[in-house]
Order: sequence, then structure tokens, then C-alpha cells
Amino acid sequence: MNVVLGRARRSVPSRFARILSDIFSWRFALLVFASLLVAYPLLWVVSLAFSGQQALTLVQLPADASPAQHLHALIPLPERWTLDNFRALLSEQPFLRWLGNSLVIALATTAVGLSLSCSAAYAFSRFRFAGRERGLMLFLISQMFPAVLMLIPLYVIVVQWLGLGNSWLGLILVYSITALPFCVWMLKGYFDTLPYEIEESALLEGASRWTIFTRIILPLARPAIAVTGLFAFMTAWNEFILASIFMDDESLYTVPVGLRFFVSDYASEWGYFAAGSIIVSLPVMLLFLALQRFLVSGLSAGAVKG
Amino acid sequence: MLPRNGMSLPAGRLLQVMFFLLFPLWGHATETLNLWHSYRGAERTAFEALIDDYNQSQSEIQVKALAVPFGGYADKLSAALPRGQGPDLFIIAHDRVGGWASAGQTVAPIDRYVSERILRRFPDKLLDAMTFAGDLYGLPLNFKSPALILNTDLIQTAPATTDELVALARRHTERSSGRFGLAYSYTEPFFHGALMNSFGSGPFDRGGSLNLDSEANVRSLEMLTRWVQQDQILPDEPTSTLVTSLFNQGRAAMVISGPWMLGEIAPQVNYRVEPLPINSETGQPLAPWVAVEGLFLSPWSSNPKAAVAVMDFLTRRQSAEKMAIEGGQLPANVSAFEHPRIANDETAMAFRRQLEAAVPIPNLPAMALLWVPLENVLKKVVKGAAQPHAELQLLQRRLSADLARLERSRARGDGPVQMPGWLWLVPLLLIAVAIGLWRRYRRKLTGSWRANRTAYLYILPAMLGMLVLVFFPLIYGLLLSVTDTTVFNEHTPLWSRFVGLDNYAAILGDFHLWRGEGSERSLDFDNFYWTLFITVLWTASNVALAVGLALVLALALDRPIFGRSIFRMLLILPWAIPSYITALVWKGMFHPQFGVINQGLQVLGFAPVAWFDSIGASFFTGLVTNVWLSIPFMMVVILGGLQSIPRELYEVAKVEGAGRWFQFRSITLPLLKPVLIPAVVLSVVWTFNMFNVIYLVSDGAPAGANDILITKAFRIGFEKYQYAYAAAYSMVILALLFCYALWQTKVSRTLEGVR
Repeated sequence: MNVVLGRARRSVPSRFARILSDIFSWRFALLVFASLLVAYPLLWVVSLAFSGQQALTLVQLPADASPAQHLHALIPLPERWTLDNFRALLSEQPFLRWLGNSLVIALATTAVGLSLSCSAAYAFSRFRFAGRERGLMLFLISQMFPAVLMLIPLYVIVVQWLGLGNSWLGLILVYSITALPFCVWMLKGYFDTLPYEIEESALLEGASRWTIFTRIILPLARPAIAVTGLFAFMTAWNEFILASIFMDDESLYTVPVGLRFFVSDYASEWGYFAAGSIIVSLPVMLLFLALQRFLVSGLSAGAVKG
Repeated sequence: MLPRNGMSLPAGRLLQVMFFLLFPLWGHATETLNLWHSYRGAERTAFEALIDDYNQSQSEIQVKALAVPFGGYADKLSAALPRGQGPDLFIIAHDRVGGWASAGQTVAPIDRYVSERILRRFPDKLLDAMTFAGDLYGLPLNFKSPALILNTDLIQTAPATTDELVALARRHTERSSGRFGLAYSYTEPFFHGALMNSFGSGPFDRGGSLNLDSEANVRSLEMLTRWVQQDQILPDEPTSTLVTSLFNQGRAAMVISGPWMLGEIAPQVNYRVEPLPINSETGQPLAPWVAVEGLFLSPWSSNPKAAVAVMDFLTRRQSAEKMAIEGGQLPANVSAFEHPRIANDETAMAFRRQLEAAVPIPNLPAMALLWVPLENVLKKVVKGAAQPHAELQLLQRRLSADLARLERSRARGDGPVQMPGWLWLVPLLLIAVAIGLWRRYRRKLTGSWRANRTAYLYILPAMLGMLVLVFFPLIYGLLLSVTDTTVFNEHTPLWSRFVGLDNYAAILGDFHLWRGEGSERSLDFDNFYWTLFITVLWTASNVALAVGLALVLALALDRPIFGRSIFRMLLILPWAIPSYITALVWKGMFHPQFGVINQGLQVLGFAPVAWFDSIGASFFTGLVTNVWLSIPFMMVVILGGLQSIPRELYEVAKVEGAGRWFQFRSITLPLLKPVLIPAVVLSVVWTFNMFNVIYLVSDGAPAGANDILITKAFRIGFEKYQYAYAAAYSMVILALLFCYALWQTKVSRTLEGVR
């Protein structure tokens, strides 16, 4: 008991010391600077969302403004904080329903995309077979053709040939295949870094390829799967044009489609759009929070020794 | 949940069909007509209430309305309609009618379904807007034109002439404190139309042929340039958001805008709408362009008569009154303006008066080609970077050439169409080649299948998906690129459009790097090689910066530090927020007059920079935005990669006395490579084809100099209607990237060999 207390008492100042030394390190200064740069444009979005207006008030400085006033003008703050934009956003349209639709589609895309790409990437990484290099290149080529010009052919295939217009299945299919090339290439790269010795010994002990793949490789590749999963999710999450072209039923729209209602050639409600953007980014942040533990500590480091 | 939602439609239809088969005589069949529109807010509520009224007024026809966001509406219509899909009826502004009517299979004439009684509801001007080549394609629903909006706290009486307007505006302009007498989006051709039409007949002569460099148009540009440069009554880089903000803060005494702005005027601002003044130089009133929203009929509608009956209902007087009072529309059925509530509404009546002088936007297909290049000319001329006459002449020549191209393709499509006999040989040849290959490689293929069955089975599902959804579009693009497909001959058989490699020759053989003569000589930014140069520069600088900075940040985050998870969360944010709004925030920050970046520069004692005027500065705006957007993703990828580096290696290195830099070079970088190389290759491919950032931030400013290949391809395809040429551009992009990928894999393999 005494020992524990003593240790705690000692560790408080040492923790403080560590924090202090962290704060005064170059690394910390760099991170603070980078975070400020990254966050600054987003502050404009946030203050627009909470301003209750559709456009931010332009700074109005007196002719003989002091430097302090000048500096203050650079910080984006709404004149008053209000939730009006959020309220209007949620009441005018079935926004939450669209958010739900998007979640289902994006999660399904992640699942389909990951399962297709994990198996393909495993084969590309661990087998040597005829057509391996060409196959990898094929995946890459698919990313090279400009997406704006794929619209009509995709419409022809998905809506006219497969009859998947106005259904989520069509969107999930298109999104997960769009995400495939990145996922396959990325996962193949990660699989390549995993040492082959573990598999060899498992093979010697009589494990099948499938067992090795699901029991050894996939758990080891969790950081990679987290990254590619996040990517697949984002592919589906923010896509606007295909979703608005494929869906003929407002109750099936996804959330980017709903957001775009606020922008038109003539007048745009940027306040609603900003509020919507913030709501839309929340699930992504939650997902990242859930996944980030895979990006923190070296998971594979221990496995190699065993 | 998923399959049920996905399948409900066909299943529902099947039930419906069975139902009608079983009970053919059981009462009236209700038919559903689909109607698409892009309304929202009060306009939408009023419109849907009207649709409900119609559905309850009778039992045979049920109208089902679908709202589509404006940004995807035209794309959705032009994807669906020519393929026999889409709605029975749709609402859209009239200026696309000419293009769609020429393309065919997109919109149908309604002359034979409408009676004189219905047509008498509308002023001739609005019916003209719906008419193309002698056929009536729709009924006008409402009209939208700019007019003069005064801040009545600052100005009580509206100017009667442009001279008065300028004098009044000068009195209310105080540039140093950001106050302007007049504000409007004067570099947008839609708004400049008011000046152009008051000098003459606008961009086309009375016969409908392009007449951009006419005396009248030159004079209109000269007047605008005077307003901007001499009188200085207008703000720089005017966007509609800026105009609204200025007006709402009492910093613009007068604005020129349309009914769409009324909803956004702040409640504390007192305003009045007045028709635009008379042009002092010609004595003619400023004649703004009016956009007429119309109800159009799909050529595929199974019941065009009923569809026109719906149009009839929606444009009758009661409906027009409802749309005006509840939806805030300016109804095309002008008898609605007699309703006391509308007749007493000064604002609505002012727009009604403005309609008398207004001119419908020309609905010729050529008009669509005009918007963007004319906007570029306007931007250049008002900044004094070009002379109105020379610049308009150049544009006239250029657009005439584009139009001639379109006409040639039309003539080809109109010619006698017979499939050449040799075409039958192509499939036969393909089959022969396939059989030959199979015979030659059969043993090898089956052998390889047997040996690597597991590998192929693992890859098969992904490959199948790719083949269906990616390689078909590719073949489609390839076929399209060897034709001369444009909007005019899209529906003729493929072989009649075949032109071989002409498009490729035109793209790659375009060595006209310079344009103009003598002192006017300047780089031609439409040239393929200039665009390629910019694209390569864009890609290289973006990827280098993004990967470099992301690597630094990932390394900084890799080891524990106070507040690490908060930093990680903050740094990922740009990826999570929709880039559409953040890109526009960056554009706003770069605004030369009101952007924070220039204000910050001034605080630090530097001169403000005109960000969108020079090639370098404009390039920089896109670069900063794109690097900002792509760092988080890169950082996450690298963070993931760092996890697979065994910590023991560093410990060993430390024991051996290796420094930080040596550890990075000999441990981190090599072990990161399997992850870094695919990430770099893919981000090169993506950045090369990065459409959104260029389009939203710099939009190729100045004058298309900063367009990259993909935005150029988009402009050719969608702003010039030359689909085949755009497809050829895309195939060139593909070929370039393919060469890059081959080179990159070869280089990384040789590096591997060295190690």
C-alpha cells in the first residue's frame, strides 16, 4: 500500500516534467503550428454554421484601425452564436434519414470493398503466378481514366443493363469497386512488409491457406485494414454525382445529395451547407476515433519475435 | 433492409402488372406521371402543394414529384432522358432547349397538344423562349431576371439613366473602407447581357449567327471597363455571395440581382426593387437577360396528352397565383399579377415591369459554348489586361471555328447512313483472333490455372467487378475517341461518325503555342502542350509537398507526446469535412479585396496580392488548397505504415550509435517503401486528374492558363459539346499516366535490386 502511494506521489511530478518537456520540444511546436494551419479554414466553416446566417459578415474596419483590431478581424467569429442553421437543416428536410442511408451505404461499401481487396491483395502479395504484374497494373489503369467522363457508361451499365437504378445495391457496387484499386495496392504493400516466416511454419504444421489468411495475416494487418477501411468508407461517404443520378426516390438519397440542395447557380445557403458539413463529418470522426487505436502502437512488432 | 429497398421497385411493378392482368375491367387504372424539378424551400413547398391539389382533383393521373439538387440536375436529365429513362415532365430553365432539341431524344415538341387558349396565358416573349426552330417545346412557368435593388436608407430615388447611376454610385463609393455605390457579378455574361442588349442585339445577330465582335458589344465592354477602372464604383472579383454580403451590411448602395436574392436580404435592410435605368449612350433601356423556367415533355412519356394536361393545370391562373404568393415566384402566366396580393407587392411588380425590357437568353445551342469563354474575356478586359475589340474578335474567331466543327458533325450525321460491309469483318476477326490465341496458349493457360488456382480464386471476385464497371467505360471511351461525336450526331450509328485518329492528331499535333501578332503576342493557353506542362507541374509540386509534409507530421505523431490524440484528430479534419465547402472557403480567403490572406499580408506590412490575375499566384491558390486537402489522407497512410516497422531495429541502431538522420534513412524510409510507393503512385494519378480543386478554386484563372488536362477535357466535352474530342483527351491522359506507372514500377524495382 505504502509502496503504491509512494510511487504515485513520485510519478506526479515526473509526469509533469514529461509534459513540460513535451511542450517545449520542437516536435510539439511543429504540431501546434500544423494544427493551427489545418484548423484555420475550418474555423470559417464552423463560425458560418453557428452564425445563423447564410454568409459571414465581412470585416468592417475603421480607416485608422489599430493592429489589434486588424488581428481580431482575421479571427473568424460569428456575431452571435446560434443553432438556427442546424435547426433549419434538420427540420426542413429528412436530413437524419439521409444520414442513415449514407451510413448503411458507406458501411456496406467498406465491408464489400475490404473483403474483395483483402483476398486479392493477399494473392498478389504471397503467390507468384502468371499475369501477376499485369493484374496489378490493370487495377491501377482503372484509376487513370477521368471520372467525369465515366458517368454515362456507368449509367448505362448500372441502370440500363443491371437494372440497379434507384437501389442502394447499385451504389454500393460502384463505390466498392471504385475503392478497390487503392485498397488492393495499399494492402498488398502492407502484406509485403509482414514476414513470411510465420506463414511458413504454419504451413508446415498443416494449416490451410485460408486458415493462414484469416487467422494470421488479417489480424496482423489490422493497421492496414483500418486505413483502407477508412478510405473505402470515405469513397462512399462524400460522393454526390452518382448518388444523385442513380436515385429516383427522395427517401433513398444519400446525405451529400441532400447537402447539395443548398447550392444553386443563383442563390446558395452556405450557412445550412456549413452546418450540414459539420454534421456529416461527425460520423467520420467517430469512425476515426474507433480505428485510431490500430494506428498507435506497433501491433506486428511483437508477433515477429514469436 | 438493403435487398428489400433495392428490389421493391421491380417487384412492385410485377405485382402491378399481375393485378391489371387479373382485373382488367376493375375500375379506372391510375397512371403515374413522374415530374422532376430542382426546387427547395418555400418554392418547393408551394409547388408540392399544387401537385397534391392536382392529384386530388381527378383520379386517373397521379403526379409524382422528385426534387433533384441543382448541381446534379442537368447531368441527371442528360444521363437519363436520351436513354429512354427519366421523368415524363421536367422543369428547367429554357436556355438548354436548343441544345437538347438538336441532340434529339431528350425533349419533345408539344405544339399538337396545346390549344390557343393555353398559349394566350403567356406574353409572346416567354413563349419565344420555349420555341426552338419553329417548334414549341414547353410551357413557361416563371421568369427570373435581374433588376436594380436599392438600399433605401442610402438612396431614395432610382437613377433614370446610366449617367445618373454612375454619378449616384460614385457618391456612395468609398473604396478604402470597402463601400461601393454599385455591386453585381459584372464578369458573368448573364449579368453583362443587360449592357450588351441595350447597345445592340447581343452575341448573335437577328439571323442567329454569332456576332460577338460587333460595334455594339465592343461598346458595352468599354462602358463596363469605364465603370470598373475610371469610375471605380464596383468591387473586385464579385461573386453572388459577396454582392449579398455587401448589400446586407449596407456597404453596397445599389445591387443588380434577381428575385433569388430577396430571400437572403437581412431583415434590417430596407430595400426597393426598380427596373434598370436607360443607357445614356443609346437611349435604350438596359435589357437584362431573363431565364424562363419551363415545363418540358420527355419524348418517352407514355401519355403525353396527360402530361400536357398537367402543364395546363400548373400554369393556369390559380396555380400561378399560388406559386407567386406562397412560393415567391414571378409567374409566367402574367394574369396572376392582377391578384390584389401580388398587385400590391411593389417588389413583384417591379420585376414585372423589368420583364417589358428584358430579353430571353438566346436558346440556341451555340449559347452554351459562349458562357465560359465570354466570362474569361470579361475578366480580362475589366482588369485592363486586354482591349475589348481585339479580345472579342479573337473570341469570335475561336467560337466560329468551334461552331463550324459542330456543324460539320451535324452534316455528317444528316448524310446517307449505310453500314459499310467491311464492318461485319470486325467481329469475325475478333473471334478468329480469340480462337487463335486460345489455341496457341491453351496449354500454358490451363497449366497456369492448375498451378495457381488458389491465387486466381482469391483475385477473381475483385477482377470481375473491375472488368464490368471499369473496362467497359474504357472501351466506350476508346470507341468514342475515334469518332467525331458531338451533341448533334450523338444518335446516329457509330460507323457514320468514324473519323479514325483525327482527334488524336488534332490534340498532339497542335503546335500553335503562340497567338496574336507583335505586341499582342501571348502564349495560347488552349494549347495541349501548355496544359500538359501545367499539369505535370501541378502534379509534381502537389505530390512532393503533400508526401513530404505528411511524412514529417506522421513522424512527429508516431512517438508519444502530450496531446497526441488531439493533434491526430485535428490533423485529420480536412479529410472529414466535405471538400466542396472547404475548397470554397479557401477561394474566399484568397479574395483580393475581402480575403483574410490579403488582410493578413497587410497587417504584416506587405502589399496585397491579386491572387487570380497572374499565372503563378493563381497556381499557388490551387496548390495550397490541394495540399491542405491531401495531407490528412497521406498522413494516415504513413502512420499505418510506420506501425509495421519493428521497434527493435531502432534500439539496435541506437546501441550502435547511429544518429536520428541515419536511422531515418536506413530504417524508416526503406521499410516504409512498400507502403509509400503505392501511395505515391496513386496520389500522382489522382492529382493528375484532380478536377474539383481546380474547378472550384482558381477555375483555370487567368483565362484558362491554369487549367489542367482533366478540366480542359471537361470543358471540351461539356462546355463545347465535343464529346469525341473530350474522350480522345481522356485517352491521352490515360496513356500518359500509364507510361508514368510503367516507369515508376521499373524504377522502384531497380532500386530494389540495388538494395
